[in-house]
Amino acid sequence: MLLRTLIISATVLWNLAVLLGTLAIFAGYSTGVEWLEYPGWASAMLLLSFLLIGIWAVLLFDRRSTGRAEVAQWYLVAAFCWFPWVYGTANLLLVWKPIQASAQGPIQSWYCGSLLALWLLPVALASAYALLPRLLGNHLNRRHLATLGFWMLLLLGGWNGMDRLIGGPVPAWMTSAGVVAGVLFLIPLFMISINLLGMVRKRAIVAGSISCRFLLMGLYALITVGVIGAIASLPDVSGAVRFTAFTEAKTQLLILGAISLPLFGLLYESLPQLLGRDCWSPVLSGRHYILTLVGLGMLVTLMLLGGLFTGLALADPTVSFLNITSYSYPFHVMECVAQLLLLIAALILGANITIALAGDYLLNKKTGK
Amino acid sequence: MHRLPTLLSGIFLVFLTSWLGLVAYPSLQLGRLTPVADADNGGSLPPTYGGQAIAGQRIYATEGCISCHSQQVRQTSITTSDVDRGWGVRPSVARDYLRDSTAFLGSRRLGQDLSNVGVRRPDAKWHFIHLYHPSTVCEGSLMPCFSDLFLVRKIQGQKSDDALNLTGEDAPKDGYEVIPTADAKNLVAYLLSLRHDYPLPEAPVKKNGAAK
Repeated sequence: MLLRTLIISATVLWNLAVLLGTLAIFAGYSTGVEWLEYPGWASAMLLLSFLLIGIWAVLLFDRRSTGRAEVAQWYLVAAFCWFPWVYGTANLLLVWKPIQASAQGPIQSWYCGSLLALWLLPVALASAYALLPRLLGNHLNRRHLATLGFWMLLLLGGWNGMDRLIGGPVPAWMTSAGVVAGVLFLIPLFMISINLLGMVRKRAIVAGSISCRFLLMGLYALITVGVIGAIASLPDVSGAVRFTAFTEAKTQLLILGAISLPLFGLLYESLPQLLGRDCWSPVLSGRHYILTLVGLGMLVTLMLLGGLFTGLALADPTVSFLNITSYSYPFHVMECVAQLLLLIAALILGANITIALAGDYLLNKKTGK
Repeated sequence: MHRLPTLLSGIFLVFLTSWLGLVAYPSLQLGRLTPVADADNGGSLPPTYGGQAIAGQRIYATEGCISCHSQQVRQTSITTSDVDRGWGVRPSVARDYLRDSTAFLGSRRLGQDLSNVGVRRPDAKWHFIHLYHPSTVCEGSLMPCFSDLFLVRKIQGQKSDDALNLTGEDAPKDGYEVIPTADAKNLVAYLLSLRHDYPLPEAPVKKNGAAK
């Protein structure tokens, strides 16, 4: 009962903070710090809510603990430790009590990199490690690969964000660290993906499960993120494509692909279990899957190409900036179309969830439960 | 394979490395940088902002300028294009941000870099018209209009000195004028104060090496 109250109040608080924080940005209270735009009080609410979730998770872990943690649990434990640390530090030094701005650059990059690589990505990977063995009816082989991948992700994840400051106003060694971490980050991503993809034996199982398809697509996205990230971190390439859509494409693919797709997989698998029956409309699920992949593929391809063209043009100072703007304009328009596809996909998912929950409500009414 | 205490201490130690390197170190080193003396006029570098410019930083933040504009000239060892484009006479260094409340480094350049916009565009009138309707002074610009930062009001007696000199479609109705609000004035004061063309010990400016 305590656990239930705890998690429900945390959820309400979290959603309230997201709502109020977003409204505050529209009302003109943005902080202007990238990815920390919410005013200080809204991020404090988020952190408080998260601490409740953290306490809930620890209590739950304690009750269920078998003494030996599974791979999925490593990632969850790590993610739950990191988020308050990362979010707390960043808010303290950049929003609540800003440190002298000459030191803010590395902290901003560290925050952006860590938020993705050490909080969202581990949560997504935990769902892959938890669900894939069951869905595929197979054991996780090569546990040493899982171990090595996990610790390398941890080690490099925090440094990974420095590729956002290559050539920027930071000591030279930080730029170098950004290049090295950006390239090396490919290794844990490869290890983890190979480790998980190694479980696929029968294609038929994959084709039959929407959840499985989302999880695997997420892993392919993860490999692509690693490759794009490594290329974009090379000093020569970074010199040309930084500040263009190219580097943004990596971020988008990481958030909308490598992180979101496995979480969709988790959603498609867990809701029927919670409701105790098959609740998804296969047509809607299929549409959601296709539209998400098409929209994401289109978005990332356009951003990579547009970014590359823009980057090459920017590198040539004889081409005027407004000229470059006019060349990149069609790419922006097409990116909007791709975003629109993703929006439609999200609406379809929303409809699917609504129908599933409404169906449950009606069913309960009929049987008089 | 991993027991919880081992796991937790491992996570803690590994995470500590990046925290020490990218949070603690910059806080202690870069966070304690001090201004240097300006040999030319006895002042200090980087120069302090005026009151309007300080207020303008807030507008820069709340209007979301950072979504499209960066404020950093990259090291010439990575790319020479930033300096060649005339975005600055020298690469930006940490000390340049000393006087800012937030370092608006930015990660996209849908618009131009602004670290030296005050050098490139020293005219406040130009900025007001540009903010009001960017494409009238920059044909083909993607920048949205920030007309919310302006007031259209009836001319009372004599036309205000602040009134924007607008022509064509932008021109207000007869007897009306467009004047910048305090927010617009503060923002422009901030933009005009964005000039990093002075030398610092760690970032000298070459003589005659001005932007092309």
